Amino acid sequence: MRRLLLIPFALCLMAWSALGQAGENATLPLPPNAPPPGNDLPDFNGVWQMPYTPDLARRYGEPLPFTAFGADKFKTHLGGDDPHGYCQPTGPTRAFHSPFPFEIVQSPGMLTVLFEIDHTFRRIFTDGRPHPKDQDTTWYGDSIGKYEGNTLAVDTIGISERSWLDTAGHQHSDKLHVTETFTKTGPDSILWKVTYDDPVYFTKPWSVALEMKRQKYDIMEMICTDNNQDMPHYITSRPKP
Amino acid sequence: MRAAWLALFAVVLSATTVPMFGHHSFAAEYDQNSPVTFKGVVTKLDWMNPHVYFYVDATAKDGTVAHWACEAGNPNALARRGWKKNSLKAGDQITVQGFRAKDGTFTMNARSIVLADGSKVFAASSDDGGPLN
Repeated sequence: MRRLLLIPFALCLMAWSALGQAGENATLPLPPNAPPPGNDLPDFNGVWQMPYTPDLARRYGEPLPFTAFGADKFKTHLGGDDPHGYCQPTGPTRAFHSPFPFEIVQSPGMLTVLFEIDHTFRRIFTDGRPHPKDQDTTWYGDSIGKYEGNTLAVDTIGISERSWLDTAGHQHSDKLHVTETFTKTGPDSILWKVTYDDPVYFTKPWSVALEMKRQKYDIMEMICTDNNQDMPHYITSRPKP
Repeated sequence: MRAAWLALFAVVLSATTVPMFGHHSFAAEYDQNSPVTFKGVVTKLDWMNPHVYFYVDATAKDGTVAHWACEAGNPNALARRGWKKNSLKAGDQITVQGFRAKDGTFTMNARSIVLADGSKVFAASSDDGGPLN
């Protein structure tokens, strides 16, 4: 019996030793942290990752509060229409719960997120400016934030309806209003709560919370268009490339 | 004792099923009702984002050769788990199990890759909505 018990131990050791031999790019040292923001503001600087969450509804734990239109859009969607399958941008929040880490850099009046996925970035203005008036929609929208204690509250509008909320195919309109809170819960953890409010797709706002964990190594390069061999094979309503 | 077994099994599982997808869902391209298994020789490996692709020539009994394009996980995620771009290389004899593309081409999503000596390469992807091993 004792010998049998050694088998799972050996498997664990093999898995851990494989991690220890990761390719050099996967174990590059962290970049120097930006200076702490001071003024009793929470320090979010560093490289972080959330649990990969391809289906927000599974995390929500119950059926999403779809409008009839939203329910039909989800029921009839084709996975092959996912914009990210074509290396189009993730939108402001999907990159956070992708399987890739990201770096947060705080500077006076702004918080910048450098996403490994697609080598893209997102900016959240914390200098007190309002949203622009009559803004055209963009893939990442316009994000403004306000520090409250150990939390940064972020408000985002103007998000193009072309982005999807997740890999499972949850979509949204350009009426989507996203609110997020980033709460420093420890030196190595941030609790992220996101609320999606979109009267076209959902009858009421709904929220999901995930925990960001501090990472030991730098982010890597991830260029989605490098070798996207999948495109010709998708089952899609899009014109074939 | 049984609880200890289960706990250990859970640790092993969690250490070996790290998700790797995120670029597209399994069903966008592959058919879980079309499992395929073949032996062949690796002709090329592209260690590139968003997915590693490798190409295999599989010779049938009648001598015809199928040229398979096989999708593996994301190279960054694979590197973080210890795999390298030379973990699988041209000339390797392998057995591949996975699922064929819905469009019927010789394109497949590889869920298991076994070298001639029995060792496994690029532990399978998961959490893309596709079937688990």
